Amino acid sequence: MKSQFYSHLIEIEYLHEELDVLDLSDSEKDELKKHVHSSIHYVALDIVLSELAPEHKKTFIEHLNSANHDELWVHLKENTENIEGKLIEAIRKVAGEFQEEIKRIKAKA
Amino acid sequence: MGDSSLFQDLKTKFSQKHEEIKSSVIEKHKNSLALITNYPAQLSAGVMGAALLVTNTLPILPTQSLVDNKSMTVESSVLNPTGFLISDLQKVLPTEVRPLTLDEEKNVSEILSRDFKMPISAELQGIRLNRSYGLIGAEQHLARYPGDTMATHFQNADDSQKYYSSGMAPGLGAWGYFAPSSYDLTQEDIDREKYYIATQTFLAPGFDENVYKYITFFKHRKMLVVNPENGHAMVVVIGDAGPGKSTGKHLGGSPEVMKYLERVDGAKKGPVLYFFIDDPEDEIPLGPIEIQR
Repeated sequence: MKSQFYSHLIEIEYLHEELDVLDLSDSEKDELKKHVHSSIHYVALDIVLSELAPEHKKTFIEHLNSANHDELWVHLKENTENIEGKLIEAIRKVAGEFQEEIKRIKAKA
Repeated sequence: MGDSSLFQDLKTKFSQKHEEIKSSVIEKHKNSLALITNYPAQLSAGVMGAALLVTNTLPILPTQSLVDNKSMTVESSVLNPTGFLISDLQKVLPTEVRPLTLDEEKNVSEILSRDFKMPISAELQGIRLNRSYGLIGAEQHLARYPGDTMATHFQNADDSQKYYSSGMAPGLGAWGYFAPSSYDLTQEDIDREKYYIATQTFLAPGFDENVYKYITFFKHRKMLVVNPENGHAMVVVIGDAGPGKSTGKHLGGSPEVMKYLERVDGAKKGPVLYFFIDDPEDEIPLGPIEIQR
């Protein structure tokens, strides 16, 4: 999976492992993983866009578009407070919700 | 082969959750996200939905040929369907590349509608481009999502070999990215970038008085583009606005479009026909299309 600006903050390999042991084809596992990653991506965008003042959003989006993660983080650290902690918390929460779904369906199977 | 019911259960739950998150984030940050996606901020407000309700379905045109039936009989032994198309178009197109008259557009529409078995016209929902017959130039690949590069752009080695050299446009298409992220990229997004043309939407009659309405109409509008000299035809979308008036070109084609139509840029650039396809149910696939005789 492609590296995102928040990828270094939290490890979600455990979710891949949960899916990898299921009796699913590779393409099915990939499809499910895409839903997880895309959901995390939206959650991360939500956190950042909620924390940034309107005048700082455009610069964030420009850095995001150009995949310039170093500049993006300089910008975030200058214009937000404890953004890393907020991202970690939100990503952990949504990843946990997906994990719960996997566990619930595994128990049912 | 995996457990299909297990997959279906997970897929239903995962996609439901994903949709909930996505919808709520887009709604909450629509103005900011409009900068990184092809979704206009107004989309969530229902403006697009209302516009789509006002569709103007054109009737299927009769299959009667414009060419003389006797001459067609004589030619049928030596011409394949593409030959007929080329011959028919030659009879109604002017020798110089200029904007077609309304009568000429009507004749061309009838030929294309008949041969490709779909409603084709130069005007749709009361909107037309500045022209329907013009010189096509080469465009570059467009970034489909933030972070899409030449390294990630192609689905297979064959496409990469054929189209890598065209490079990627430094800016985005007129409607921004095709998808907000690589995860959200669908086959429809891939095809829209692959089979796109750039048209001079900004020169369309009435554009300045109805900017939002026209931009909404032109965005990813399905068109048929035909090289009248070899009969090659492709279903494409309007994926960008351009080229500039001063270039001497009237539209642009993606690398894939140019290759299939066998059109080139520069001194040897040539004309194509580009007409709207009325496909309100979005049933006609993008890409090369054969004559349906």
